[in-house]
Amino acid sequence: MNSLRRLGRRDGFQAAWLLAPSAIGFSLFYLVPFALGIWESFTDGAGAGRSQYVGLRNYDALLHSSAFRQAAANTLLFTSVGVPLLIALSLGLALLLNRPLFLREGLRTSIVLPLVVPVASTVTIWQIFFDWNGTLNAWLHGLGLERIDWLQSDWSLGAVAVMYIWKNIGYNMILFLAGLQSIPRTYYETASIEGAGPVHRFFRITLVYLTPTLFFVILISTINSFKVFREAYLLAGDYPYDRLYMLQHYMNNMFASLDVQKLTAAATLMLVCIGVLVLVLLGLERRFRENME
Amino acid sequence: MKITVWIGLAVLLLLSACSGPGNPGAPTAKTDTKHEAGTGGPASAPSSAPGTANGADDSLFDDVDADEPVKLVVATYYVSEQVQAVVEAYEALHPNVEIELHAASTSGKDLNDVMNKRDQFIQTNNAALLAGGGPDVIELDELPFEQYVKRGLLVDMNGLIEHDSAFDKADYFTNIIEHAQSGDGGLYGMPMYFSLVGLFGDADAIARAGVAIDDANWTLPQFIEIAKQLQETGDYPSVLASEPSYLLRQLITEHYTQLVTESDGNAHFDAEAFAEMMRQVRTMFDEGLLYNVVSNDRASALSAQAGRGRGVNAYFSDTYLYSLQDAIRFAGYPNTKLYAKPHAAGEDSGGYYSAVGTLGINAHSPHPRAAWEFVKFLLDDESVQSYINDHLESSPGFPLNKHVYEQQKQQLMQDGVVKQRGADALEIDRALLEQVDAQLSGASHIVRGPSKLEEIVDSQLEAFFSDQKSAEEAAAIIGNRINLLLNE
Repeated sequence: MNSLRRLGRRDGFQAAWLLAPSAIGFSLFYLVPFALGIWESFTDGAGAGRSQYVGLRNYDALLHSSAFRQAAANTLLFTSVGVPLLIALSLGLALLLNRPLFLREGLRTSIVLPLVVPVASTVTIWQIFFDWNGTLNAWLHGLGLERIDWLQSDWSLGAVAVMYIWKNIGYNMILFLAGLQSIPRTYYETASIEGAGPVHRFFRITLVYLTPTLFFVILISTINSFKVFREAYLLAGDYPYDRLYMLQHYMNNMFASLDVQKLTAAATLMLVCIGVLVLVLLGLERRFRENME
Repeated sequence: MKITVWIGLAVLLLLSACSGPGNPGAPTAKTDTKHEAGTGGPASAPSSAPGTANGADDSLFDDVDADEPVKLVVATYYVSEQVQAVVEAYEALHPNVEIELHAASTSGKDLNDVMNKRDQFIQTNNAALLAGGGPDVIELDELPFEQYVKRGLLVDMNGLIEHDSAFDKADYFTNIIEHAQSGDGGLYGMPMYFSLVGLFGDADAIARAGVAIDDANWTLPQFIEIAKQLQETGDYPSVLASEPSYLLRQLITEHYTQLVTESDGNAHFDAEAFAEMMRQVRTMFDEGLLYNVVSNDRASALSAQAGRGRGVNAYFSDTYLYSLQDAIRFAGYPNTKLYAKPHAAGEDSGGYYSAVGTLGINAHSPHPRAAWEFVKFLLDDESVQSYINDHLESSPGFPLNKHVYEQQKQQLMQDGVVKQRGADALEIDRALLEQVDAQLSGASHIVRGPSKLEEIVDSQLEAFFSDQKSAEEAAAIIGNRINLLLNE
């Protein structure tokens, strides 16, 4: 009795009560559906109340589907090429716009603009741009080159990568700019006096002090690269050329064909992969911070 | 602290597990127990998933109590007007039954709006059915019917028909009911109407050319052979008025088994064979064997569709009939004869048709019997099928009910003319009507709407036919995308 009263007075317990409303909301709309989804991936999906546990059978079927393997390979390829490219470009832009430049404010705004424009409204423009009879091919033709079917060949992944970079570069640039401005100017001044060149200053000061920001940007960009499905879907529909076929295409199509088992199994696998990636990144970041201290 | 959170979570999980999905109404729980009793517990149920109705026969028929208040939810897409008209009549006849009609809107302020509404209709019903709820009676024309059957979400109506002495299959077009059955012999969808797909041909011109035609058994290669003979000897410059991509889509459906091969669990689309097919069709159009209605003269094609133009430039033209009046209106030749479409190799004889307003009963419905009664009423000659022509401008199709059809036919024979808006009435052609009549009760091949496969094919054909891509290139892209579709 006494211990119970003590428990009631503890901060943690009080906090739990105050957190309860949002915890309930979170559970109801995220946690519970999420757990049910994972459970669903281990059942045979015979319908409400009659499902039975089937172990890893759905995962087995999933890994035997060549479309799924293709989707996983494409997503991996896209992320491993798109994210470094995006980060390099946005870091370059941030460095460029961090120094006095003609029309700097205007340039910054124009680069951030794609972020606030809904994808669906710009996709038509991109479609016209990349179409077989579109703008880009008209330019190629004008230059006397053979035209390329951008969306129906291995180029399609490149086309979506361009959209992805266009869309995300502004956001990353802002993050980098904030990171750059938090580096004390005196470091650079001291380094200059000591005779360090610009390359040396970039690698030894800028990059080192930007690392925490960099980790965050990598994380966000990676997650955004998984979301590129939206662009790919609007651009090329639910069964695009196979190079453009992402994991979420697979999940979307499984949803359309009511195959909840494969869908949830794929989602769970993807979750595990993203989870591992995030843990590794966070671990690296922690180790780096400890080193710095 | 940690423990509290975990307990809280556990309670939440339990709560969510208890509040199972389904209709908010009370009867859900009741029938659940019935199902379990009927199938000997939930453990045995999943194994008989596709034939749920067979396994749960007893539970389907034990709610025959006529006075028990019943609430039916009916969801329709295309035939909502027709169903709407009949709901009140049904409720008046059966005071214990209340019907809630979820009619999806097929109109909107633009095409986008319509497509969004359609997608919404599909998604809502998919989710509800998968969760074990959803409407009791569903019109399946726009829904993934085969997926539903595969997952055991629909009642096999054969079971209901067997137990229903009031329902006599002979009152209906039995051939249509028979071919509405799925591969496992279950009748999961009952079409309210159907339309006839065939070829109109100029019988006089064909007779003059002296070519014998056995349209009950002809295949596409034979059709091409006949076409060549006709072209050499006859009056018309072309043989079939059609459209290249349309013809190719037909070919791909008909030759599906040859085009798609399966090896170690993976399906493979034969792009080379398809490229060859594309070239063939191309040659046929280039040689003028086929007459491209779209590129040659859209206007005359449209007027031929509307039935006014009596100058189709080929021996045959594709035709879709939704009523006997249509046959008279669309007949484009001085002596028009209705032929069956060429069959795919190995198919039995019999014409082609497509189903309109296919109704299914939800396998999780608490009142399958009452739902069946309503479906039966919709098919009944006193209900919607009989007054369709008076109340609605155009018929949604030939009624499944033979009595209604016979009535319509007799009426037409008596009138002797088909009225047209803004034009002179057309004299009926009794011989043609007899042919339609024969085809109706002989139709045995269902034609389904454009599938994903055909959409993919279509996307590349334009570039091929306008010489922008070679047959190999276009076929390779088509094959690439179809392989994805096949191996998901």
